Amino acid sequence: VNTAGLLAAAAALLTVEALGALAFAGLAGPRRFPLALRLGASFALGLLVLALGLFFAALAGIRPQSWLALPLAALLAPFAALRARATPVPSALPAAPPEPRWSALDLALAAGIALFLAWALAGALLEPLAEWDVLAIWGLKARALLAEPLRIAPQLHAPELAYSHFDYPLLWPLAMSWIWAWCGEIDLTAVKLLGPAVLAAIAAALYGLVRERASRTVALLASFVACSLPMLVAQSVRLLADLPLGLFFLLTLGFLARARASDDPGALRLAAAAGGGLAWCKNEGLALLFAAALCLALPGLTPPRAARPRWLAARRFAAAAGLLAAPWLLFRLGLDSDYGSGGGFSLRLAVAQASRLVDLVSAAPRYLLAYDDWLFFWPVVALALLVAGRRDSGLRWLAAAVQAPLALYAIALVGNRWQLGDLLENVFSRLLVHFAPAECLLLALAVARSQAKN
Amino acid sequence: MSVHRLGAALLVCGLVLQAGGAFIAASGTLGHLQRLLALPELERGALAASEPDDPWARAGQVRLRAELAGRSLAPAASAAAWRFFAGSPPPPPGARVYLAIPLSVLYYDAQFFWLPAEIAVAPAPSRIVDDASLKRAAAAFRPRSDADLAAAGFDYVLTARGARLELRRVGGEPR
Repeated sequence: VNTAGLLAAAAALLTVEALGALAFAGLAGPRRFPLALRLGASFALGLLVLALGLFFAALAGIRPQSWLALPLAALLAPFAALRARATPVPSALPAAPPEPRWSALDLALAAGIALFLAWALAGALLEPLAEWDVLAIWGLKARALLAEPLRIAPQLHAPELAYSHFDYPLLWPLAMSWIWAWCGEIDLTAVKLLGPAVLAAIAAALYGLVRERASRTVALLASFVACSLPMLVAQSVRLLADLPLGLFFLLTLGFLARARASDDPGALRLAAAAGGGLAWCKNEGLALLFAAALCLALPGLTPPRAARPRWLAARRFAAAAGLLAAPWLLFRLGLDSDYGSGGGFSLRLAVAQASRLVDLVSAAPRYLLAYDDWLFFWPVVALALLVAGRRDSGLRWLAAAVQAPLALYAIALVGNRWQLGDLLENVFSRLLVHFAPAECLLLALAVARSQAKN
Repeated sequence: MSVHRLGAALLVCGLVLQAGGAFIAASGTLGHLQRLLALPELERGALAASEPDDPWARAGQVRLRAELAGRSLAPAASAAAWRFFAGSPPPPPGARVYLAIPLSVLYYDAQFFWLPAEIAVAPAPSRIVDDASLKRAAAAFRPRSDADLAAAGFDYVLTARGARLELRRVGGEPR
């Protein structure tokens, strides 16, 4: 193992966290957020800041280089300083009961979280980058971005590289190229630190989001379930881009739920930033973003008296997230998004192949109930919703917002050119990764609710 | 017992099963971690590149796992490809390399590992989206000798000698 490479990669990840912390401070406003949530969300925001910064730098002809952290920090620092001058006020959510002592179960869950994160880290560092999807798509783009400025990089246009999906967003490749820029070489092991870092950010963000509303035990349970899911551990070891998308979706819905419950404009700004990250992470992120905005505005999910503020909040959320996503979406217009026989979605095909929906629904249990990937996760989530979801409007909203994109995903799968069986084998479980962290949040809040009823 | 209490009890049971299952599943990958620990980096990468050999690479692929269950497996082509590309010096930047074996696993790996060299299966650029389109593009160009490759502007050729991959200069010896 190249120790210098690992240290450089660790330093690169610390700059991601630091940039994200500045962005968090600038967006959050005076309300307090739990430390774990700040840490987890800061990592995601750091990835977004980096993607935006490196994207504009690359358009200007500057390739990813470590010194770019300084101008990015200088841009964010005044906003963070401005917010820091405001007097902090407590969270607007009803405070969770104080628990000065850690129970034996708390300690066991915390040890379990540490163990599974260490497991993912060991796997990631023992296996150099070898996942063909990552090499052929995200890794190729990362190398190309390091080699040449974005506006002329032939790897984003050359027909002989069409398999690398030109229109896939650049957050993940830019994060990889950031690590390699710090390493000074293409280090296939050091770059793998990114995967466990995202899993750790999910664990921290989940703990913070749940702890605001529930006991420490339930918050630890949510984190433990997320980072012990075999599919999530595998994704972090293999460095696939579905896991950061899951992180952004968790944060988008977590902050939106907070904004709905407390009318906290800081939470709405943070949700919008995480929503912008969705679009920068994967194309499916657009569906997740659209569904989140829709659920925020949908009258059936909103108490009648609160309809107008919610509609305004939905507009603000969509506008701010859209503004962050716009640079990539505009750039994407100039890219070839026709995958030919290699896949891709068409609405006309979705109509023509509507009967595939039946096959999709009948094949879904095979993947949802795959013990090797998910253990009992999806049945447990379903049970939790049945037990606690019916009477709690906040929980009902979150459940709707988490599940709503499934309809859009189903349409995309039905309207794809690939043979359905092969398509599902390749993507179904990966798509579930987008939802799993948010489902953990839902599960934990449902458990807390069912505890409260007892 | 009310329906709600029954549901809550079932939920607790489900969570206990989930937590216990997580440890059992992790212990299933312990053997793989131990195997990795005993190997040098090049072999660890080759193992990671081979879906049949790597439990994390098979994650989410329910059909593949069912097909592989209980079978003894030959090493995957992707493992040999990864070992070759990660372990061999790349061609010089800007070199044009003719890929004599039109397999997507080689093509994708070569594009990643050898960037900024130019890798192609034919002199004229064509749209490559998958294995089939790669083979179609390759079928349009049938060089009979190194002279044909040189005339088409290729500097290097990636070919196979027996089971071993080999990069050689057009008209020259292997590197």
